[in-house]
Amino acid sequence: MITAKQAAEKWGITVRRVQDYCKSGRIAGAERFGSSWVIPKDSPRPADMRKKSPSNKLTVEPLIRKTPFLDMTDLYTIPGSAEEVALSLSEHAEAKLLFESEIAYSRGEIDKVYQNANIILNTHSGFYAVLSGGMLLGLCAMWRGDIELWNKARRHICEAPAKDDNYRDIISLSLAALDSSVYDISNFPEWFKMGDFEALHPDALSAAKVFYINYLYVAGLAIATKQYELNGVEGLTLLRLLPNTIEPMISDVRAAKTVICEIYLRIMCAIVYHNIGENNRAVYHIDKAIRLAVPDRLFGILVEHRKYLDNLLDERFKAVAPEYLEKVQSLYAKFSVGWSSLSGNIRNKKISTNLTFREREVAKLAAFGMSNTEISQSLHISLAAVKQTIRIVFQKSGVNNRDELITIL
Amino acid sequence: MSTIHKEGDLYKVINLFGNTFEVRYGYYDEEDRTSKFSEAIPIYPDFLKSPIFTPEGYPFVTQMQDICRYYEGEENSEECFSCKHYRQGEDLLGVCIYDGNKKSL
Repeated sequence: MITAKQAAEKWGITVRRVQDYCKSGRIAGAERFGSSWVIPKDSPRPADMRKKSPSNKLTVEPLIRKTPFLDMTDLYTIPGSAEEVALSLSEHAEAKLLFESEIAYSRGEIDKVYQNANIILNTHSGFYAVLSGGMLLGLCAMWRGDIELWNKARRHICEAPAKDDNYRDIISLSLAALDSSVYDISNFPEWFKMGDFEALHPDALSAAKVFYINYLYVAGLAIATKQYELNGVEGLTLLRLLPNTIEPMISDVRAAKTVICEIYLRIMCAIVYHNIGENNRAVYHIDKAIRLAVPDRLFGILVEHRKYLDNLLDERFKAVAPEYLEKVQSLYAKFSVGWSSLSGNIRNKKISTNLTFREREVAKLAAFGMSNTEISQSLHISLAAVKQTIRIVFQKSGVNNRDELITIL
Repeated sequence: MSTIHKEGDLYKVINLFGNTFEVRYGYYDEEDRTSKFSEAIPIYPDFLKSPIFTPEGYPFVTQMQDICRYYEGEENSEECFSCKHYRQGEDLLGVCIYDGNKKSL
C-alpha cells in the first residue's frame, strides 16, 4: 500500500484529487487510515472524467488566471509608496485612475472610489475597464448598503464586452467574487461547488489568490453551518486545512512584494486560525498585516474583516499601532451598517449588527452545532452565561432557534 | 456597536405580575469575570434557588431556566422557554402556569 501523497506524486496530480477519488470509490482497495488514505501500490490512476474540448485539451481550469481587480495594486510593492506609484503613472491616465481607486478602496475612502468608478465607466469601454469599474461600484455598494447600486454594478460587469468564453468566465468569476464578499455562495462556479479545489496556478494574479481564498473560507463556513452540503467534505475540516493553502500563498506574494494582496491573505489567514482556535497564529498574521497597512493607512482592508476576528483586531491595534485604533473603529462602524444591510437584503435575511463580541462568538459556535456545555468549555464562560447569551441573541436578532442562527451572522 | 457596561450598572427594572425585579449587570461566576470574553451581562434572579411567585401562586421563571419534570415541549430543548407551560412576561422573564408547580396559597 502507498499513501495518498505517494499516489499523487506517482500520478502527477494533487493530493486533494487523490483523496476525492478515494472518497468517491474510484480507487479499488483504497482504505481510510486515520485521517488520510492508503492505496494499493499497483492501482492505476483513475480516468479523468472531466469534459474535453474537441481539441483534446481540458476545458475546465480550476481558476481563471487573470482577474483585473487588484491587478493595479501589484504596482504597490513598498508600504508607504502609494503617492510615488500614483505619480509614476501620470502619463497613463486610466492606469493611474484605477490605481488610485484601488488604493482609496483599501483606505475605505468610498466616496472617492465611487467617483472614480463612474469616471472609468463613463470614459472607457474596454473589457477590463468596464469590469474594473463595475467591481469598484459593487464594493462601494457593499460599504454603503445600497442594493440598487449593487445591482447596477452587477449589470455593468455582465455587460463588459466579452470576446469569447474566457472573457465570459472572467465575468462569472468576478460576479462570484462580489458574492463572496457578502457570503453568498449560490452563484459560485460549478467546479467549485463540486469541491474541485485544485491548487491555484502559481502565476495566478493577486486578485485570483485573494478571491480563491475567500471562496474557500465562505464555502467552508457554509458547509460547517449546514447551509450547503458537499459530498465527503466536512466544513470544519476544510477550514482547518485552509492554512495549508494560504500560508504558501503568503510566502509567494511576500516574495513578489504584492503588499495589498499580502495584507488580504494575512487577514483571511488570521480569521481561519481564529475560527479553529489557534489565536497565536492569528495574532502573528494580524500584526504583520497591521504593520503593512499603517504606512499608507490601508485600514479599509482590515475593517472589512474586523467582525470575524471578534476583539482580536482591536487588541492588536492597541499593541502595535494604538494611534490608529479609533480610526479603525470609526471606519468599521461605517462599513458594518452598510455591509449588514446589503448582505441581509441579498440573502433575504436579517443580519444583526448590534451583537457584542461575546454574543457573536457564542452564536457562531452554536451555529456550528456545539452544545451549550461545549461552548462554555471552549470560551471559558459559565454555562449560565452561555444559555443567557443565546437567548439574548435570539431576542436581538429575531431568530427562534439555533438552526437559524447562521442567518444573522 | 454595543456599549460596555460595568458590574452593578442598572440594566432594567421589570414590573411583572405584581413583582418588581431590578436587573443589574454583573457576572454569574468568576470564570465569566476573568474569561477573555469577559462581559458584564444582566444577571437575572435564580428562581430555582429562591423561588418567587405571582399573586396567584405561579412561579416566575427565566427563559433559559432548566426544565422541570413537567416539561412539555421540543425534544431537543432543556429550557423553560420551549415548554408549553411557559408564558412570556418581559425581557427574559416569564411565568410557568403549570398547576403542578403552583404554590399552594
